[in-house]
Amino acid sequence: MCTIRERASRRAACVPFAIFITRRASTIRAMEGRDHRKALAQGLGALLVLASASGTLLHSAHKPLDAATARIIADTGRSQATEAKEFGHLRRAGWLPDGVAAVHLHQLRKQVSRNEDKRRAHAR
Amino acid sequence: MNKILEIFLGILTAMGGFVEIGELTFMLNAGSHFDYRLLWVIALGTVGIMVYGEISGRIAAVHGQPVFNVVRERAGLRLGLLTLVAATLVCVLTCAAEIGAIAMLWQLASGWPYRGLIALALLFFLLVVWALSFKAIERVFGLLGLFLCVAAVVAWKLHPDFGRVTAGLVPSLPSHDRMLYAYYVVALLSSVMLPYETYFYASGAIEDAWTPRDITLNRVIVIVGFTLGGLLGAALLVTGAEYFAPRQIEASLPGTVLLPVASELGQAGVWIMLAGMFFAFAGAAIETALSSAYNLAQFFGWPWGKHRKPREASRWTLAWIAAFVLAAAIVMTGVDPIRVVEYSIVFSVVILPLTYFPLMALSRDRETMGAYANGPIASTLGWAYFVLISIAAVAAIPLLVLTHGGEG
Repeated sequence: MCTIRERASRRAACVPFAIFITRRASTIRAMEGRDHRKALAQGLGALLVLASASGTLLHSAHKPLDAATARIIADTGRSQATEAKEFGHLRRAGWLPDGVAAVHLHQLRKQVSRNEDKRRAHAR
Repeated sequence: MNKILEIFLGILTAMGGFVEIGELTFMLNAGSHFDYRLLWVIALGTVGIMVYGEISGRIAAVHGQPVFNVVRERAGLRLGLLTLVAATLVCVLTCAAEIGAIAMLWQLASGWPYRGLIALALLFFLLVVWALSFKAIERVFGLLGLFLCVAAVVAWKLHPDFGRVTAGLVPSLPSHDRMLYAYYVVALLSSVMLPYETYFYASGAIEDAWTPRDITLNRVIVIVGFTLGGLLGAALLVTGAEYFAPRQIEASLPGTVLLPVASELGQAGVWIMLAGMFFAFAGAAIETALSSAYNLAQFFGWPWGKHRKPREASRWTLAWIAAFVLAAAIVMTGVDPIRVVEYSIVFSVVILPLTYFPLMALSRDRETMGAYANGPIASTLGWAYFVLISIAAVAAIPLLVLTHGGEG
């Protein structure tokens, strides 16, 4: 189930895709007119738009933030747990961009599981 | 007027290029573990890098010789080759860590997959180093790295206790974790005095065609630029002590540093910090990859430098491309970039004496350096630091093992 916020963010991502398609078309037109400088600028613009669109989509594809935080806190009692709590707190207060907080928690979760694997291997 | 502008830009570039991922995490964690007790190491290391930076820049300006020409000439083939292999390994490892950290930063901003971003970062570096001149690379990444000054604003806003800050400038042993404290002393000293900074600085002086007339420029840049860089490092340690220590958080990811920034400066601060980290880490990645190529070319006598066309310095060009590819391949395996940089910093200290002994030997030689040979201050400081880094080099590996890689 995705939240209203996630649905809205996916819809918002469609806008840059639409711009990308129109820019791509105008890039091809510029190429055909042999205006290479304009074509290059248009192409770069199109790539930037595509990058931001994919970024928005991938950000919204991450697991809901609070669930990710809860899992890290459940996984470990060490510094990562406090870090996850702080990130959650600052994100809710609106001081951290949602996407940045989501990806950081994702990176943190991966690190915690990697550390756990290492600890288990040592114990064995 | 041009000279003043050049000095000003040189200072800012030296300051902006001072911090990289290893220094960032070590400074934060040093503050988090030991409060202000390790501030003296930053001061000590900053003076050390000034001393050797000044000597290497002076040799390049007067004698036209970069570091590894001197190493080959003064240390002989065997010891020189050992230094070359170790220095190249450390440079490639540091470059790998910077590329990994950049991929993590880009992932924070975009949400794209990590390995894809490593490939993108590799492509970015190959294009940038191929297309831009030496001056442009140095200025763009050095100056834009100054976005990191936001860390100093954060440290100021955390209201550090200046009594404790001053006390931190005097060495004192903590009552707990003394072995870990010793490990941090060695690691912080190494992170401030990373050898690639001298390789790159001296090679850059030759790229910029310095002459004895640039000796003053050299002195002002290393003294003022590195002092400001050291202050930036100290600001990170203060942040570690004031924000991370009470919460018992250890910085283990580049994004962790965003916590105090967001808490003090909000979203705008976060984006500025991300930009600052990107340019600082990218600058370090380029410096380490180019340093590997500089070292190889200078040791074996190949033509080198960005001032030459790639066709005229083909082996040097291939060497920096190979350094980037190898570094990207290392982080592509999934190894943790922070772990990589921790090891590379500790191993760096081992090669410091091997690099600096030949420099000291040449810089005091009046026959070669003439009126520009070491004076009493440079000689005393140079040899004092040589003894210090030799002790640190001997202690580095045992401390790494005894503290389980700094985990206590």
